[in-house]
Amino acid sequence: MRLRYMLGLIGLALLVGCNSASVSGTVPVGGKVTYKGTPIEGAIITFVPEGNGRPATATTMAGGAFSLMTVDASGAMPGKYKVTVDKVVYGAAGSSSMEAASTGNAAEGQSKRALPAKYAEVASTPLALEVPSSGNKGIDFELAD
Amino acid sequence: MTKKNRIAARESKKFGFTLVELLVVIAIIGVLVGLLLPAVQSAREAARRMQCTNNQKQLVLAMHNFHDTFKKFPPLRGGPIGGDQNRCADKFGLVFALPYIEQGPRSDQISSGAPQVAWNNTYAPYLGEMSVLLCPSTTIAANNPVTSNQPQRSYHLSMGTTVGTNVSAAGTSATITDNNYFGRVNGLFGYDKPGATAPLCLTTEVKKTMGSITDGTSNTIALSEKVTGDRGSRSVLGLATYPMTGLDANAAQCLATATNGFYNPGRLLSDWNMGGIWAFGHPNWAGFSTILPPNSPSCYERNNNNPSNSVGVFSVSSRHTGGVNAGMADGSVRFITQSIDCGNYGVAPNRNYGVWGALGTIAGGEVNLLTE
Repeated sequence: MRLRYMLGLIGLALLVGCNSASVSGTVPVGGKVTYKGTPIEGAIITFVPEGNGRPATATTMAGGAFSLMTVDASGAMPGKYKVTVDKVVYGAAGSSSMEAASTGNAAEGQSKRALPAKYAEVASTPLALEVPSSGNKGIDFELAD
Repeated sequence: MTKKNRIAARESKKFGFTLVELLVVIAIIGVLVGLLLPAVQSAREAARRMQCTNNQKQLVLAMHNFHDTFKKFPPLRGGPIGGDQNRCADKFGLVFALPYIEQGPRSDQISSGAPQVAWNNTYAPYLGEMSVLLCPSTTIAANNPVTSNQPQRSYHLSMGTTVGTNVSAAGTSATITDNNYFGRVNGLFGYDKPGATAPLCLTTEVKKTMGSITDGTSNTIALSEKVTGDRGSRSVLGLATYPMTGLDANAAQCLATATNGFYNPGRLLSDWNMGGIWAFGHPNWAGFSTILPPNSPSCYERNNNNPSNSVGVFSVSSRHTGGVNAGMADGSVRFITQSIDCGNYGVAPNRNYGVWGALGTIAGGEVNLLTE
């Protein structure tokens, strides 16, 4: 009997310390983003904590679905957040030659935002919410002009 | 069974092992070997990491020697934009410190020969590997570099928590001019100011000195490492993604460009890996930001697969387990873990860069210093 306990303890000792995520205490958070009713793919979502905390981020997938990450841990810390949504579309290709590019004045196309700029800035975004300690996987952001 | 036989049986049992005893012994040996084996396998990596640490110390000491001679630290990127570009512009700070890493002949040729642009890939003084610039842990991908034969480098200079703010009204065509990058960089290294002259391409203006590091040289990062990058992969290590907007106000959005160490499908990647063209001093190739933790993605705002002059967040990375080495301004080298406190990555309006940011700035006045 004592032997079994000892083996069990050794096993436990080997299991301890295998948690690799650098952030703990996150809860699952996810949902969907639509703009004028159309799901938006490839938009970057940032949950900016009000006060101290860690921002959580995600890129929307097909169908506008997103699932937040806080650095390498999935989810976000419970708390109040402002939410920014930004999507930048690549403009015309610029030159990649060193001669043209190193001066910083190479003629290049402008990339542009695919969503209204107010959603991209923390100061102007109308989106805000509170993440409950149970998490929330059904957030719907419906953006309009 | 006779009594004599029974005694004999009992005595022979005394010298034997039962099956359970045998299994326990084997299990214990197994556990011990299990503990030992990873240590043996990582011994080589430990040796490489030590070599890497030593290189960083040598490079910081080279900068101390440079400082003793010129009374200031070399710039991240020397020379003016325009002007005598061939001679001075775009040169990496360590090009100026070559004499102090026993590369005097290279330095002599560069400062006395015909001027050559920093990306020249046939100019002899720029070619030929220098082992002090390479971390032995890094791997050099076969499809690097793009169009340059210049050797790869692992070590990059600190730009602190500066992202750069000279973003055009349209939001993305971001360029850095000498003034704004040098003037605003709160780390130890920035662009040199205009007006630099041959032969050393350094302005006579007083720049960053030991005295400007009011946070203390042992609390301030001078240099650290990046993986050289593999253009054939989508790994975040040593490669940057574009286009982005608003990185200065929200650097954390860069974290959203990748999942589990690889850039998300659809993200555009720079054509230029970070370890390439070692003589070139632009942030993607030569600098790093102390904003996102080690081994995070890197992002820049320029709408071009060439990140020259672009504002951005350029993260340190390594193939050591769990973090990077960083050479402090006093010549010590510390290991920075991936889980270092980064505050909220400087996201406005409550900007806070945590311990990592505090290590990057030279005069931030922060008290949350690295503890060991």
